Amino acid sequence: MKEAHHWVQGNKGLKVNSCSYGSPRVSSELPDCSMPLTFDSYNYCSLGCTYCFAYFFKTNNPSIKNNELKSVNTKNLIAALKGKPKTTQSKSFYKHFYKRKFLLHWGGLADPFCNFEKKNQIGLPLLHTLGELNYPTLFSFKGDAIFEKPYMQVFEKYANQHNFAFQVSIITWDAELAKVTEIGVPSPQKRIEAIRELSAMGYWTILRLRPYIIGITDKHIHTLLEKALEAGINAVSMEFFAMDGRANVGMKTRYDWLAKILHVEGGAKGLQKHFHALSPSERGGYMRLNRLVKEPYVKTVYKFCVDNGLVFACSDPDFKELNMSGSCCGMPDKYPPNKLLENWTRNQLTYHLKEARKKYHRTGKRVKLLFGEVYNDESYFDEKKFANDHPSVVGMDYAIRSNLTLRLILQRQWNNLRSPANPRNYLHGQVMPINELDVDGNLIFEYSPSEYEKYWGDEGIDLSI
Amino acid sequence: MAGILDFLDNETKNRRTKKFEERFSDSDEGAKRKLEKEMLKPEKLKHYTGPKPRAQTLADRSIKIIFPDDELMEIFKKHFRVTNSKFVEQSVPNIKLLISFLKKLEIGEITYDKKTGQINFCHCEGSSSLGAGK
Repeated sequence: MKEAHHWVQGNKGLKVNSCSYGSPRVSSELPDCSMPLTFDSYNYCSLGCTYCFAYFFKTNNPSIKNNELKSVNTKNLIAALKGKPKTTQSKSFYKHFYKRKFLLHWGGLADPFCNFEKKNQIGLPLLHTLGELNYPTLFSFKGDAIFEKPYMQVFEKYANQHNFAFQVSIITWDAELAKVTEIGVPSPQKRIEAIRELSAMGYWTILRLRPYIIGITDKHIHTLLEKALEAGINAVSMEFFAMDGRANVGMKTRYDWLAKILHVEGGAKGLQKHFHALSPSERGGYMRLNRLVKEPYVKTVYKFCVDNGLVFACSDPDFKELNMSGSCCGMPDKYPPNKLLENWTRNQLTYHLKEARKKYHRTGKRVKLLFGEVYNDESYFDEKKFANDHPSVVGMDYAIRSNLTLRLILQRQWNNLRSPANPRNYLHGQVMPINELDVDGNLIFEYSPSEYEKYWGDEGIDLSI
Repeated sequence: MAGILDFLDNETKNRRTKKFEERFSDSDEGAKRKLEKEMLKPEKLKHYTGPKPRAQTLADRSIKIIFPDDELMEIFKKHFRVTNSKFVEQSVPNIKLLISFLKKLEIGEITYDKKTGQINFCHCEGSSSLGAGK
């Protein structure tokens, strides 16, 4: 895969050019995200995963085109975490998140332990601070800088504190297949080793089965799950590969390659046709295969989790109702070793959908979802500064932008049945609007069970967990 | 929970996924992709026929103002920062001055005579007045 190799080579040994990268931010996935405080230490990632969802918009950024590596300003961030924020932005983050130790998700659009970290070690002082402060943090990674001594020493030092959790992304057990799909990434076996070491320290670890690529991941799924279990995972979090309808030249060559591996005829165009035919149109241009295609693969992973006492988590909009905790990344609902790891938000769709599914299978009742209950009491919903990072403000009148809040964005999506982000469309019928409005004039959605829930139940699969 | 889901038609999607799984097991990867495309197409969601949401949006709180002439428009621009962009309409993000004026009008510290176009300030000693122009 020439393009991805070129990407990895071009990023090799790159030094940080400036520390002006703005992070953390509030994730645009906040409608159903338990950890919207998302953080990246660098403005992009050195790894060359051919399926990368961040690659498209990162490579359209002029500074990245010129290999301009930026990092966050760790001094400012550390000061803010310690209660002395210096900038207007960090004052807002302190007020709404850091002050109450809201869980930090490190690794949203880039890898915290990729080759950039090996060279620049920007994250290391921050790691020390997070440990000192007993700050709850979830790392999402594939890179192997974590194996280096200074990093492992930090994690060993704070092991008894249990304030860190880790999700390790692996999409196949087949090292050869991984080598040609995830360029420059440590082998799946090496990543399982990371899970083993961190689990042995007593940390909460998650197998991040993302993206689950039908045609790649399913080939050795049983071995991968067994190996991860043996290494000590507590949860599995899955989400299927989705295809962006837009593509630049680099993206197109990556899709050509994926089409070949997946045995779809016609290269990138053929892959696009395949996804277009199988994805519900109500979800818009970010094409996600429908639940009929995904069902057998989800069943395998769900059953494995039930049989082995693991937390099953699903970030995919399809089968999201099957989440066993309210966090689709697989964070625990209850975590007695350190209650701070429970400090993620329940004011989002994943939690309420999971509760609705449980109630349905325990009592037969179909729960109604009200806007004011799903997006209840979070101060950051009403902070005007955060709304300006949301992609929906692009092209918006500045007068509207400057008065916008995340709550208003959420409400607009909730009530607009033409929006791909509307709960009915996004979850593709798992909740449906009923013929009445709430007191504020918002739509009311109701849990609408899918057919698989009947026949999985008949097969003896427990859906009430 | 058998019985609860009786309203569902299990002969539809269930049959499709089962059929697919039977054929799927014997197929090579290329054939599987073709089978998926052939057998597992998504269904359209049911159309919503209920009442339209009434919840207010920011757009509901915006109004368009047309000035009678360029001169007044220029005065307005002098006191309010008007944003200009080739992609979106001209707008005023900061209307603190206007809000302040309206609040005083509302509580009676300023009065406006519709007939003469005069505005009067009533809150301080020796109230003053301003001509409303045209």
